[in-house]
Amino acid sequence: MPSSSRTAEPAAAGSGAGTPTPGTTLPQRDVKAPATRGSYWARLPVVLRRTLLLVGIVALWQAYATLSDVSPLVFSAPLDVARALFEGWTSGDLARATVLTLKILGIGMGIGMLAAAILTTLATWTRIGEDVLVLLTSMLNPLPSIAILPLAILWFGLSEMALIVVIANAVTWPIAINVSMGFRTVNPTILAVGRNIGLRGWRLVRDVLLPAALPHIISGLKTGWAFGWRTIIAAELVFGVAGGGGGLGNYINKSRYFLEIPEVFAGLVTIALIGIALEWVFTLVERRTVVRWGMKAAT
Amino acid sequence: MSREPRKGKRLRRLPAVALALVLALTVAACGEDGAGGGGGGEEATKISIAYQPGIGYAPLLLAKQEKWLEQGLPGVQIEWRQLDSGAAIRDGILSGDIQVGSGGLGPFLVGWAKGIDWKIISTMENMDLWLMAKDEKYQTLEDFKDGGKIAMPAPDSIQAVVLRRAAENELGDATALDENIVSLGHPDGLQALLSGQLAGHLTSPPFEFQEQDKGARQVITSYDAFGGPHTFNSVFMREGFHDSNPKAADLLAKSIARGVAMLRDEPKKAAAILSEESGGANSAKEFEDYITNEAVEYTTEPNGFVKIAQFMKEIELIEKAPEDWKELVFDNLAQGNGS
Repeated sequence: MPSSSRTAEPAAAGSGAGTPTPGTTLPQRDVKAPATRGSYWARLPVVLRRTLLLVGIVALWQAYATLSDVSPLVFSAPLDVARALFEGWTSGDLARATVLTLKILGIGMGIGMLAAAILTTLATWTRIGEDVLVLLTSMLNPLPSIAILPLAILWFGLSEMALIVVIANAVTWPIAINVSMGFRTVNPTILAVGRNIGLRGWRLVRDVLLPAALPHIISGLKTGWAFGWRTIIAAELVFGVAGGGGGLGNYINKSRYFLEIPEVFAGLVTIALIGIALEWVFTLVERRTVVRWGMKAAT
Repeated sequence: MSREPRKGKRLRRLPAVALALVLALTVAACGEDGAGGGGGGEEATKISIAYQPGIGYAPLLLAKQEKWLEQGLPGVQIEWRQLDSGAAIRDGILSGDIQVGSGGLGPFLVGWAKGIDWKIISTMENMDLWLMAKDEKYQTLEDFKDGGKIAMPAPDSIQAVVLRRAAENELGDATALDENIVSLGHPDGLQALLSGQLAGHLTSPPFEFQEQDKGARQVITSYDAFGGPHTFNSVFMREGFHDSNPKAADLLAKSIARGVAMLRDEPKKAAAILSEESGGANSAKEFEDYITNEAVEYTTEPNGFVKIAQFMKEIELIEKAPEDWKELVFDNLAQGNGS
């Protein structure tokens, strides 16, 4: 409940900002302390645990590449991949590809978010808007967005525009579904309280509806970003060149054409790293909002 | 991500992690087996032959339609697969899925320079590859500097080499038009050019002929770029497969030669078979026009290998080029003429 949790804010603010220390907002986490006896592994800090796992996986990877006589034309060792990553980033090829991909994704997501905002606003205010949203999402959400790429190319040509349209389509529907679900599940009591103290129109949306629906909005954005990210890489792979120099998917594809297998892996690692970075950003946002307000358990 | 409140769950995750690792390694190991699958010591019971769209593959298509290989190799299952680019065929051969590949010199040489142990068992023809444009704006290569897209099967295809050769000849810079390249299979490229989505299409017969019929015109030709006729498509396989399947390799070379002879000497008969093979998509008359066009000369004689390979090395598409064309071919072909 926004009003009651707001009072807990100052207490949680100090600890919630930086490290993933246990907050005061979640009583069940206090149970955790006595339960950690036994496993040494569980008592290690999160960062250390995950780093150790990562090192182990990379070590296995290197061991497999060194010990088996797998052809370097089909499989690359981590050392070669690290070299390709380093060369790719210092020469600017990978950086250029990454920036281009993120730019197209950013524009596509921006348009998708705007479309989702308009659709859900209409759906919340009018019955016909709700019908339109339900119909559109049930038709278009199950459709893998990459499937409309051939049409988009036909309509917008072999340009960045075609990609942006495909991305926008990929992100609009998951965001719209989640946001409208968030609005519809707002506790009616809170809404009534808001109305009772004289909030209406935009202020009711800003101060009551949006904060109450924020967990759904964030999970909508997360899903939308994941859909968009997958779609753009897939689209670039199919598309060949995304206008200009080509993005990450194109970098992978081009490397594959010239049998530069370490570069293919380097492109994949870059995609994974960006995924991790974005996940981290979302976690930060959640920690500062819905976790602090006690609407979601910390991760 | 979330912290488990109870330790029982935490312990149960361990076997799952172990299982995932075992699975990953198994998958990787399978890939390795597949990659070696081109070699093998035994005679194959199934041979997968890959080709691409276009009449550059006509000798193979004749063998396919007339079942020359099936008849000569009883007990061996022959599978014919049409793929859209040489790179796709190369991936198939590397993964062990495809035993016999065919296509332009580009993808073959990229693989050869990277150390794939493959060689050419037969070439199929000399062909003049044209850059076609429809919009009046594009009269010479210079006009493409505005960024107009040029489609071709792949950035490593022989068409990409032709474009760079021409760019160096006419614009003084081999990479001048690299940003213009779009990867599209020939049939898709034809549609895209005619519907106005492309500035140019660097393709092969019969697509360039069809585009010409629909109002497109030549901007450059590969014979001009390389100063004379050159081989377009070859048929290749890994040495391990060649050595353990001598009978199949020999019959394949002979079937291609038989197809080439029919295309040269009995174009009417060959055209009728090709039309049948296409399921009637093109008439026998159309095929006859295509295969007798002067841009097409069916021959098993390698032509221009060294010239093309050395240019590819010069512009750093590949790291090494052969000194002699005989390094690229099996003995049966090396005994004849070539360049």
